Amino acid sequence: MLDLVADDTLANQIKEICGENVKKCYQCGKCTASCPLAFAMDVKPNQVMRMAQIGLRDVLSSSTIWICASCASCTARCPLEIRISYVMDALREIALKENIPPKEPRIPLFHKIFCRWVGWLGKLYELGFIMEYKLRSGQWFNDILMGIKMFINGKLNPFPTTSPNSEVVRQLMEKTSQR
Amino acid sequence: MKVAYFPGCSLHSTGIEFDISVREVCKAVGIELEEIEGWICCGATSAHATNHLLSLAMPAYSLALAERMDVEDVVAPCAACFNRLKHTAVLCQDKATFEKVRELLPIPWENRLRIRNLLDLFVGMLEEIKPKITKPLSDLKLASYYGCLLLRPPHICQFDDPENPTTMDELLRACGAQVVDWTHKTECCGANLTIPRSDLVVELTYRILKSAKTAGADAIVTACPFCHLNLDARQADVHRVKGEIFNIPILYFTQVLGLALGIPAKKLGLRRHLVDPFLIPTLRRR
Repeated sequence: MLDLVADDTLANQIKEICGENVKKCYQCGKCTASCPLAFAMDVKPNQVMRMAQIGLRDVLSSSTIWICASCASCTARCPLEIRISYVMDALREIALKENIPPKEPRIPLFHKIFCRWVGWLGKLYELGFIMEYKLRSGQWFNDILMGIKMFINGKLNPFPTTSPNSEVVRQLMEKTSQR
Repeated sequence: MKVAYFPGCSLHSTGIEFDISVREVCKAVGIELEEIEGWICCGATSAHATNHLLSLAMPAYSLALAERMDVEDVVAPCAACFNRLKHTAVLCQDKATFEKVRELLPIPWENRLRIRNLLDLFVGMLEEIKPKITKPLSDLKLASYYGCLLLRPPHICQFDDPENPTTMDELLRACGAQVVDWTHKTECCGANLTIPRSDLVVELTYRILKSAKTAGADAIVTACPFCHLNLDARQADVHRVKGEIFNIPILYFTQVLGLALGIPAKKLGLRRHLVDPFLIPTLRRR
């Protein structure tokens, strides 16, 4: 028998992070119809909303929360004005905090390395960041040709650009991660 | 007119031709860009995907630095930076959020500056720009591509119609070009998924390129370095995966405006694109 107990914890966590009330959703499905990446998601955006409403925490291990590109088509079209893209952001934040193994591990890895480079230099040094990502993700040889062409055309700056205020970035990261 | 300039990280590297053309065009139309000294990354997309408060605090710091300058407006040409700066400015109109963010910052911040994107700025001064257009691009058919971050979410961007925007169309028409009617003006290119899931980006860019080609466009015009990267640099992958050759040049709207203002092509960074814009005969003569 299906053991299903509706639970508000997840809905409340989402509300705490981004202020959105997932309980307003009445399942019209417009978010899924609008989503350019729904074809690649294991749980469709409207199903994400339903799972968040009734507290099914499996949503935190869906591929959807990482595949979402934050295009906000869902948010622009939701008839109840739920900012679904903020709900996706909140779900990612919760999944990271709770150390839930991501179904698309390369995407959170991308975000993690991105934030670390920005913390070091205050700005994103694209070449360094991409090199580290390539090494650690195992996608060593993808995009090499594209990278070489971009380098020749002067589109990959070999030198890092830095901000004198990188210390501020590190402080902000530290302060916000404690909350 | 003097404005604070927030170039953003991409404009130093993958989007360098955007920076080059923005500076040229602004000089030509009389907008003085003063770069915010000591600005930091806006955090797009990784900060908001992992930490909501951090995603507001990072732009807020750069905005606080801009408040020390003698300006009313902050201009961010990159659509992602524009989106993050505007998110901060709009969401911090809520007092509780504002206080939370201000507490984190080491310097005072009032949240009093207006965040503008360049399209908005140019279209606002179109009557002044029109007489300066000396080399109209009359035989060029262009698809204006807005993507996501200039328009959505609409309660933040507060810019143009999120479903059928026309600002860029207006600017391109003023440049003498024909603007095609097409289906994928506001569709997503997949943005930063281009690195971890390039297969998905290939699928999305294929649809966009196909739509522009069907509409008869000679080139696609964009306002975002993410969109540019995906549409320009991924065309070779689209060919490999989908077996279709497009060879559609992708231009920044500032490059189109620059050409129409009579700025030589080599000063606008056109040679840096992966798909050669000089495939278009009209551009070869510039």
